[in-house]
Amino acid sequence: MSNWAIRHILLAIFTFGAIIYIVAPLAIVVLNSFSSVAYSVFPPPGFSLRWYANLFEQSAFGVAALRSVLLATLATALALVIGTMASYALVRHRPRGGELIKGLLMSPIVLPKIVLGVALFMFFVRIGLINTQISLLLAHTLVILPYVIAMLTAALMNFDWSLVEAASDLGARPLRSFRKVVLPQISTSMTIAAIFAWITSFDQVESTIFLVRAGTTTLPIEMFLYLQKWQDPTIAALSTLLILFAILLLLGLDAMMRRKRLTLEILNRGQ
Amino acid sequence: MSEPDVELAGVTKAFGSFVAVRDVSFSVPKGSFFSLLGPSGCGKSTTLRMIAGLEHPDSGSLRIAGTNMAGVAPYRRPTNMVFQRWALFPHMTVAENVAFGLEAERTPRAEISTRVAEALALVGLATMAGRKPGQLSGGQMQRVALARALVKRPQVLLLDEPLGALDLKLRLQMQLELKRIQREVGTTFVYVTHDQAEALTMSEAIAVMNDGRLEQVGSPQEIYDRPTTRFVAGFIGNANIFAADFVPDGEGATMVTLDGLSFRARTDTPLSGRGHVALRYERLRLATGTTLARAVVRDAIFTGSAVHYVLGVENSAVELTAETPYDGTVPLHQRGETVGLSWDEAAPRLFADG
Amino acid sequence: MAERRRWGVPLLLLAPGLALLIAMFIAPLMAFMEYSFYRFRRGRLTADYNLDTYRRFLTDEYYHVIILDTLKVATLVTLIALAIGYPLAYAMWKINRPGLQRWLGLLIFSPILVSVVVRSYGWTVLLSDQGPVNWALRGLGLTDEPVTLVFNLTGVLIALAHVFLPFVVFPIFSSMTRLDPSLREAASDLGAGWWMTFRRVTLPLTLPGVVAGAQICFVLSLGAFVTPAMLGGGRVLVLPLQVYSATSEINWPVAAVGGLVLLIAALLAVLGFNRLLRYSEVR
Repeated sequence: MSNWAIRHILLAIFTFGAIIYIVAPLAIVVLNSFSSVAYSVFPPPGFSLRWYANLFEQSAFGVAALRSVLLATLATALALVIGTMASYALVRHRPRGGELIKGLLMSPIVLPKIVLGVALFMFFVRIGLINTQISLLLAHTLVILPYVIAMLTAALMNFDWSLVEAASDLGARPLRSFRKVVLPQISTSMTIAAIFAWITSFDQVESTIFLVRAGTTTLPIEMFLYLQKWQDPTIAALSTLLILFAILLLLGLDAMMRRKRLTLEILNRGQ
Repeated sequence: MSEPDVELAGVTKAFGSFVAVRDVSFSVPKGSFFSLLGPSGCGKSTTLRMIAGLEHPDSGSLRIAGTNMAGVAPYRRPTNMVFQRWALFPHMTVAENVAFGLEAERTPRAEISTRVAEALALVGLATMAGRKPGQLSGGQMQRVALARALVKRPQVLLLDEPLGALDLKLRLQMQLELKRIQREVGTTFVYVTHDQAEALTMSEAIAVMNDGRLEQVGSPQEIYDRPTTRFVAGFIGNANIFAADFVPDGEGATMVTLDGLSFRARTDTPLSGRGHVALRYERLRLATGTTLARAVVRDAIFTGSAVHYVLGVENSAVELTAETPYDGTVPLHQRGETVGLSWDEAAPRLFADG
Repeated sequence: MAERRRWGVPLLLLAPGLALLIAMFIAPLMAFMEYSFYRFRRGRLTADYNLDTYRRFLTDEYYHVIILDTLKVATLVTLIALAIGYPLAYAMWKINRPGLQRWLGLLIFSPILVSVVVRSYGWTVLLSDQGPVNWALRGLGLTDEPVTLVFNLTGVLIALAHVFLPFVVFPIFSSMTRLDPSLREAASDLGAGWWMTFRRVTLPLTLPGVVAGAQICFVLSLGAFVTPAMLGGGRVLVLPLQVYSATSEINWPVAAVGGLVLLIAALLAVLGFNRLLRYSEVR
């Protein structure tokens, strides 16, 4: 067999193995959610929907889920507004010390989240504002802001500013030209940034674990705490629903990428 | 006559539904400077890449130095290529770039050093051995690419529009350089270009391609004086081309008639029916004596070494362009002037339709 | 409204971002640092400023082990993720059909859409003694006893590499797509086979992507909390876990100093990799 063929077959086998590696933990969760027994064993002895029933009896998860969704949506909206404004200022106006400011605004990304979580906890206890909803919202906003800034500064740097100058020449005031000229062009980047930001907010655990109290937790924290005590497949049922949600999101992303003919570069920029 | 170095027979290549190369056949004589000439998209680059082994023909045969190259990978062919954008390895120095091909052949280290030095001296870059491509000018990168390919002493050197990215003056200079190097080294060069002046300057033989097909193969003078297709007549040099009617006029001549103009043209076999006639700009003479037509000067365009006159033939809708050399002694004809036109009977080239 | 003072507008636009930064980042970090000087004795926290905690971190073997373990985990995870990620990026790059390529990319990306808690939970089930991996190993006759793959370092490494795989694949893939195809053609034309072309052209020119991916993976691994917590079984004590438990026990000085060490480690890693990145590009 030729060298070329051997190489390609090996690569194909490896890729197949890697795909299994990637999908396996999620697949097993889905499988386990339908198991008839409480302990995890492979292959599952029987099929049952009892864990889903159990899930819906536990209102704690529902409340936490709702809170997570609300929090993520509000934080994303807030981050988009703050982030777009900041990105615009940094790229368009290039103030002195702009590099430093951008670095500072982006730094929460490299910061180990547990440190942020602990620092926020200590700070809010200190100033007596612990356990407020607003502190939780602002914490989430801070964490997801770097994603918005990363994507939007990139989009704005590729932007043709002569369009704004043309609009200005034709009589449009700054706000109008922003709304009608800049915004439509960067809307794709904003959407992608919003998706990344939303997912990140929804996934926050250690950055906000000290800011919440029982009964007012977010979904991932609720799940994390539950798993520290029990290991039954109720979590598997919940996880399956979340995976389903993620698949829908994935299909949406795929549709958008196909329609707007985006490349996988977009996924790289969001990192 | 020695065996041709490259031989294509009935080569066809398609990319999906787009046929890039259609039934192309030609031979490249050993040791010659051979050009593939044509407009963008005519298939010349694809043909070159097939010779290099970077693409494979769908049908037809390709022989290099007598051996069939079907299924042979690029690194096993006696060819080397100078890429359009030079493809120099940015992370290696000039010397390392040139040495790369020799390392692939597992040439001993000492020999590599000597041959690299030789190649760099040949292209005049001996002092640049330690530089990286990022520190070189376009012309210098061009020469490194050439040295890198020549150092391997290939049977055939393939050049894919290598001068396209250079500015005019540098390009003209490099054209002469390339010819000198080819003569010195004696390797067969197959050169792809869309610039007909470049092909005429450098080549011993030219293959003109259009829309995937081979239009004509011949020496520069043959192609220029005796184009065999209408496309070649129009692509090479400047010519006035019109649709016309042909009527045989005795042995070896045809009467050409178009709107208001009628003249005799010398042809090998008399033609009849509809067709096209091509008259080169510089074959039209603004004469005072016997004329074939009279025309009004509509425009006089001064190009430095020559003048182009755009002329409207009297009692006709035909517009001709004539080129006369400018030597600074004869005054230019003015717009609105009426002049007489004449040309040699052998000047018009006729192409019958169908 | 004619041209105003140019610095007015950018300041206005940056204000909310900077305010958020100060209120939720800088101020908390300052409070955090302040607590590193506190004293914690017999379960009580007092504002008795001292450097004891710092001294203990610098001298106590216990803390050295934790720091080294954290670095060890980050290094191993990065190496594993690169070992899987580079060939995967290569495979994705070599796929000819754009639809297939996009699907593979989305597949690699998809775990990010699912909460890290779910992913870690999945690994606890997958690697458990009664789980599919052990079932397959026994079925293939490779072992008789179940292999303990979970609640130890092995499980943490496998799961963390999984979490950070996309972060490694995409920068590498990106650098591959930016590779000038004519360079590989030239190498082939000059006589280099696949291996020589890979070794002398592809690998050196994709190295920046590798370093970028490694940087992200390493820095994020340093701060990983959920996965080591769920898969470590208490045996993998990395710094983030130490900080968490110290905070829960109100031993805030230890939490603060530990967090500070983590911060410094992350910062040094970022700077170190930046330097490495520049070196790999200039080559």
